[in-house]
Amino acid sequence: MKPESDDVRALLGALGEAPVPLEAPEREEARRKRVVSHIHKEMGRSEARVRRSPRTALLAVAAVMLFAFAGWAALRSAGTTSPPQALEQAPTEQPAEVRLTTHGVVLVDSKPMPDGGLTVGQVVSVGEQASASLVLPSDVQASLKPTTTLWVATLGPREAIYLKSGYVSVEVPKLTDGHGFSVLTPLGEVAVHGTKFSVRVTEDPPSLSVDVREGVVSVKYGGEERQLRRGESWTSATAAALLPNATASAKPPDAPSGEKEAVKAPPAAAINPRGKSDVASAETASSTLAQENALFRRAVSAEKGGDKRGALALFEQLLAKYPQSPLAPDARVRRFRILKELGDADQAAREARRYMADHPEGFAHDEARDVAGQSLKGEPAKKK
Amino acid sequence: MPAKSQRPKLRVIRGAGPSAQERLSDDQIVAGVERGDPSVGDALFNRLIRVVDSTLYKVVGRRSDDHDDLVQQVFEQVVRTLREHRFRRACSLSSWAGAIAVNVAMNAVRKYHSERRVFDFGVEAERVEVPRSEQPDTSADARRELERLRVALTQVASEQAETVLLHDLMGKELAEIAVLMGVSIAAAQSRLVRGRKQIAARMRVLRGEA
Repeated sequence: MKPESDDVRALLGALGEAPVPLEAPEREEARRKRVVSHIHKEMGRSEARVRRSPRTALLAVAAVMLFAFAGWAALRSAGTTSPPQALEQAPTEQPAEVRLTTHGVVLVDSKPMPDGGLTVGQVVSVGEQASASLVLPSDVQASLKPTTTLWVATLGPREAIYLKSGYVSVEVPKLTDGHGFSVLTPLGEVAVHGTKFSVRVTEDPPSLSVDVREGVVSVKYGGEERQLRRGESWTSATAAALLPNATASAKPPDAPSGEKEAVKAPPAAAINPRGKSDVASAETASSTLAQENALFRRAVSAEKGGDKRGALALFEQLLAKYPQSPLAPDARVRRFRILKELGDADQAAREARRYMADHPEGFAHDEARDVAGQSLKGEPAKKK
Repeated sequence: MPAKSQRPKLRVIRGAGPSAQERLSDDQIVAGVERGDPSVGDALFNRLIRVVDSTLYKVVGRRSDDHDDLVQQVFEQVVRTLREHRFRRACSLSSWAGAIAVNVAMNAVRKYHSERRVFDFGVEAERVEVPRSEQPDTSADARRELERLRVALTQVASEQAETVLLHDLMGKELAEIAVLMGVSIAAAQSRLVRGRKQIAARMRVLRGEA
């Protein structure tokens, strides 16, 4: 038998599990005394080394200079502003801090987590059996699940994290005017303002899904923006990555080199108003998803190319052939928009009513109601 | 029935619960070492001696004459790295010490090998001391395989050998190895795969098959 890689693994595995014979207590005690004595000596030696360390000396000089400068700046500031103003301004002058708490193996820039806070662009990689939580200066809290890779893209009034892959659950407090928070991904952007939601990104196949637990979230994807309300979930089409000639809508600002390359993104997406993630269903339906996406993409191309009638026919074909497609709501919305543009108000209203009936909590409900020309206030949704 | 006064009385006795040292967390021990507190020396030893001793024993293949020197060397390195703040608390203290022990053990095996004190394939192979724990249910062939494995480990790149040992011998996951060795997970995986292949190839040579 030739020892191959598996044999090496098996041999070492068996060796690892083999018991280690115990030693006489006297021998163990003698070793303990000897080693502990050396531990104490090493502590003393290390202390001396640390004291002599040129790096430490350099840091000490830098710290003295920093304190001197800070003192000078404070005196200068006190001279130009009243004391209360100076006190009020102090906190805003402190650098924004991102706090990272980890449980298990979490790497930052492929290395063990550094002391202190996280800075913009440092890549956080969560291990297979680990987790982490991130708190941004605005008190946005992100819970990172195992195998997640992300980094803080921007700080300041428009905070953003870039989720390369994995799953992150986010809680955003009510932000003041002019402030916002976004999750950027290779496939799209999720912008929020006071809500609880989760985002999942997979790289193979490329997919993005969003679940909203509270508040309103807007998803920018494939050049379009749509809003998700509480209980709604959204997913990009899993198999759409097979489609060529589509570019990402979200690019990672401040991403480390090597991570900035444009990511191919599908133009198609689906809203699931039932409040359940479509990831699993999209994966099980992947056998027809590619065809659904191809058809949807042809329809969008026709629409953008000015062939509105052709687009209408293709969207209708999609709805007829794949009525349960996650792209169906989008197709229906696009149909009533095109019909409205073409001036066919009656047909547009019919399409809008059908959309509202099929998707009573759909993302374009308000728009559909306007097109239908009637108020559904208090009226129960009817399933056709 | 004995009278009430004659019944055996229940007494409160001191239990054998964890000592103050055992109650110290990894973080407390690390903090103690970092500030040079000698009182944590015993706690550090007690916390790590099992992993250090067993790692040295398994990698070297026995408790050699200089086993205590190796143990001491590992602890000195542990203290030094803690004092220099090179331990980032991204893994457990025992994992950290285990990785250092693997490194020290591999250096020792290389030294033994170069001095022909342990392995010399051919005539001397039968004289190699094999741990008792490996003897009862392993044949002479299996023991020789282990001996070849140890030699092969000395003949591949040290970072590959150590990655293979951490993963396959000590059961560490790749993410933890990446932390311990200060590389990316992908790099750790590459070292593991290449290391296993190289070791397997060296073992074939040692068996006279290549």
